[in-house]
Amino acid sequence: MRDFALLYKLELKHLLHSMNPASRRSSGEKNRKRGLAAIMIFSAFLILFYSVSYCVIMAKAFIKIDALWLLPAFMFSLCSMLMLFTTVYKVKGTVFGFDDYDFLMALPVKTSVLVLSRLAVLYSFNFTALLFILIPAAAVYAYYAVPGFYFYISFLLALPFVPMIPIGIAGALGTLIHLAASRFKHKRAVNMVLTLLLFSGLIVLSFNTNVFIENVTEISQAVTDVVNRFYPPAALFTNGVCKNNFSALFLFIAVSAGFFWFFSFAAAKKFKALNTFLLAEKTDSEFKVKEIKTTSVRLALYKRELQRYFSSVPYVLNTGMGLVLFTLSSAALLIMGKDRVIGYLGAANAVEMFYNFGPIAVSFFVVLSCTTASSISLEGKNLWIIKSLPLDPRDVFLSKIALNLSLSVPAVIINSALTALLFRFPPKQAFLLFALPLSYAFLTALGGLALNLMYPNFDWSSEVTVIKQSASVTLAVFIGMGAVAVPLVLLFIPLPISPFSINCGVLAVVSTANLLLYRYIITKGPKIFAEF
Amino acid sequence: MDFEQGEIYIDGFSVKEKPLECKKTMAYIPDNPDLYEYLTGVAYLNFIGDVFRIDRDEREKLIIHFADRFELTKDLGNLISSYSHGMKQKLAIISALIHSPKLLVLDEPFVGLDPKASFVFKTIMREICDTGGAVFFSTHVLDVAEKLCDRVAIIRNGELIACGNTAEVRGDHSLEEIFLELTENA
Repeated sequence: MRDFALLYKLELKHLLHSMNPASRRSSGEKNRKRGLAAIMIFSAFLILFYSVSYCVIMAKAFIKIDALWLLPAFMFSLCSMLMLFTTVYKVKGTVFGFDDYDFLMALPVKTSVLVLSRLAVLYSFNFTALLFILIPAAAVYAYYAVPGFYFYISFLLALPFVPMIPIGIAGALGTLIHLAASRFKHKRAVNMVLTLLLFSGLIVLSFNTNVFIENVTEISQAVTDVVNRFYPPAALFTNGVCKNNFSALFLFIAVSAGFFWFFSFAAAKKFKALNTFLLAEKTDSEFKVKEIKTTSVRLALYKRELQRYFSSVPYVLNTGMGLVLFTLSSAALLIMGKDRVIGYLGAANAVEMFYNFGPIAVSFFVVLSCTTASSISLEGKNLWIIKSLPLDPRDVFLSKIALNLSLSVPAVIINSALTALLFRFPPKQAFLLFALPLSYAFLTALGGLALNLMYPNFDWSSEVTVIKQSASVTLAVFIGMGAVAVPLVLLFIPLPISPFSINCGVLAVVSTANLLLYRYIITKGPKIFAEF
Repeated sequence: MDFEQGEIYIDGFSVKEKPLECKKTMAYIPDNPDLYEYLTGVAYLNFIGDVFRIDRDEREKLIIHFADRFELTKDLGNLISSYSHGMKQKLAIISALIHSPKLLVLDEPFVGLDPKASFVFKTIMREICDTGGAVFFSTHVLDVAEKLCDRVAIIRNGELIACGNTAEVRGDHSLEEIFLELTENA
């Protein structure tokens, strides 16, 4: 127990420390950190607000069909899927293949205790995240359903067991992917392909694409039905917590704990063999220096960024997967045809809605795909290389911005072209359908870089920490969503201005912001960079 | 003295006012060179070659020359993530040498190097100095400093307590004896 507590505290401290932004040798450091803490606290409240609002909307919809019990079921399923998706690529670096493996294995500590301590850290992060989803869901359900005392007791009893099965499944799948990829020299690329295939497969299996859902309650019912078949613990949780079924509750707790124990036991048993296999690298000893190719400095920096990006599964999944799925969805809509899509929407002015909301809808996916917000932090321990080379920091910044734009600009062009083709956009609206998302693409790239210059983090052992949990990435996501939400609200409110004028106004504002951000990066950026 | 006080000139250029000019004529290797693990050895050398704008033929010649001397040629096609500490150190040294710097700034450069690679590197350092260049390195291995360096400086608690030609600083004693005496009395 003592060894477990020591190892758990050590790893938790390490992860929390690596989530903090780096100190800079400049005045106002304390104020900067206070400001950051305030923003993070505000962000936490904002997440809670969104979570509660979403649950209230869903609850009202479920009440209409007399199925309020669907709310905890749906949120439980959503939570479990999110944990599964986000844990799969965290397995390497947390449970297996972590940097201080040699050091920890040399300590007089049982392997099983070491494995449990690593799993406990993974569990802690997942449990903290699920509180933001399930507590609001339970509170909203309790408000509307006014359940008996049993609900509160059973919910609190079941809550700690919710992350266990997703962690076990994600751990097993993640380990299998890494094991399969380890057989190849370019294991990172193979890893990425296998992970993408897994995610795509899970999405396809989870949804019945033959049935196009007409309203949000049917979506929830259908998803919950599918998830109950695909993920039976969801049904156990729902029956145990919401339907006063103590046997179901007991079974849920037993299955969750049992599954987690089995995974921990298997992981501990195979721990050394798996790490030996995963940490080994395939090499070739027959290399001969042949024709050397030369490029310009800027192209060399851009190639370096590309290679960095595609060498990291979490980086690609966190920033690029959304654009890929969006593009596939646009293609699917094009195949379905305009009349069928309008028919399902059921609104008389559906086409006009697409003209007005289309540019913002495409922009929404763009702002969620920000590679620059972690690009400076990801230099990590390699920072000394670009700082010691005769490189203009502005060229380094431009290469990072170029990477982001290389992903978002083609996605915008393809998706806007597909949408314009499907709904036959008139010239003025078609211009906005391209111009507005493109301006948001620049805003995302420039804004992300500016944020990472302000809040870098070079002291990390797992890149997942900076890619998913760093201050700059969190801020980039929230500011990006806010930048799209404001025009969206303006389009919904009945104003004495045409939607076309509103979109034009947004384009002007975003373009101005882009110019200011570019100026900030080019003038202040090098000075900030010099202090790292 | 504050960290940002004073002046440093490299080949006549001020580090504060012309940092890029200074960096073009020098190379720096830290004590634990963390390199880009996602690149192969040759890809990393090519990146450095592109940054320093070394032309193709010269670059190929120097890469082959130094990689052969350090016996790293056959491993240049592998990812840096597969390299041992010593191999990474060698690659970092090769990347520093291929742009023919006038000044090398090194932090514990011999840590992780096998005896043959250490010997090769010492020979190269001597060649650089004999052709008008300079090598500035820190080490705790006083034997190496004594045998290799024309000038030595001894620092204790951030303070320079001795500096000069190696023979003058050492006198009739070994550098180790002088170091212990100076640091105990300081």
